[in-house]
Amino acid sequence: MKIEILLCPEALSLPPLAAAGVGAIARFEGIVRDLEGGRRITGLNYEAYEPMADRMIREILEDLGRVHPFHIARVHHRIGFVPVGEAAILMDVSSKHRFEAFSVLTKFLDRLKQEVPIWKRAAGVSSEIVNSQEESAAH
Amino acid sequence: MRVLYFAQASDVTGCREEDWKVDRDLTLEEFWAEALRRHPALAELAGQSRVASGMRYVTDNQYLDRLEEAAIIPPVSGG
Repeated sequence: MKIEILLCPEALSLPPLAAAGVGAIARFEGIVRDLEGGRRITGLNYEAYEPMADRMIREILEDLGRVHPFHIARVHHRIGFVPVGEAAILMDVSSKHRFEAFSVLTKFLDRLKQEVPIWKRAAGVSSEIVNSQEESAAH
Repeated sequence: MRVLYFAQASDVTGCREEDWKVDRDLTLEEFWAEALRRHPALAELAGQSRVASGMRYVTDNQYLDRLEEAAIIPPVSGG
């Protein structure tokens, strides 16, 4: 079980995983949308307590891997300003079968949003409400 | 004890970190009492924020090691 974590200010890029011995690869890209709370924005600013976030991401993946064994899990999260249309997070998980890969992916993302010390806030918020039904600019 | 403030906690305190002179480990209650004495505006976040010590969340019956880095963690929103 291998884990790769990257927290960085640059645009994210996750090269394809080597697939030897792997039966499934599940991949997620979280893209910043253009509306936050019904108002247009230019992007999201992400802040992190980086050493703790790194540690918690690893521990959550190790925890999930005990229940859903996987080969490789990679989590790349952008920190700082992320413009609309670009990825705030890229993640993939490879495993023998699809159930493990999907399970790790979805359960990890749920726990990330509840436990890992990363924060976002909207940037360049317009004064005009475009759509009052819209809530979060995150994926 | 080095204390870090993130996100809204940094906004309301106007600082990102402080060094507290403490001569013993603190309970979570003692930690919050000192944080609120220094920054009364933190009261609006205290009920919804967590505290970390040594980069681990602290629960009610644990102490914050005075030699470890502590942090006030407002509700997170990663991803």
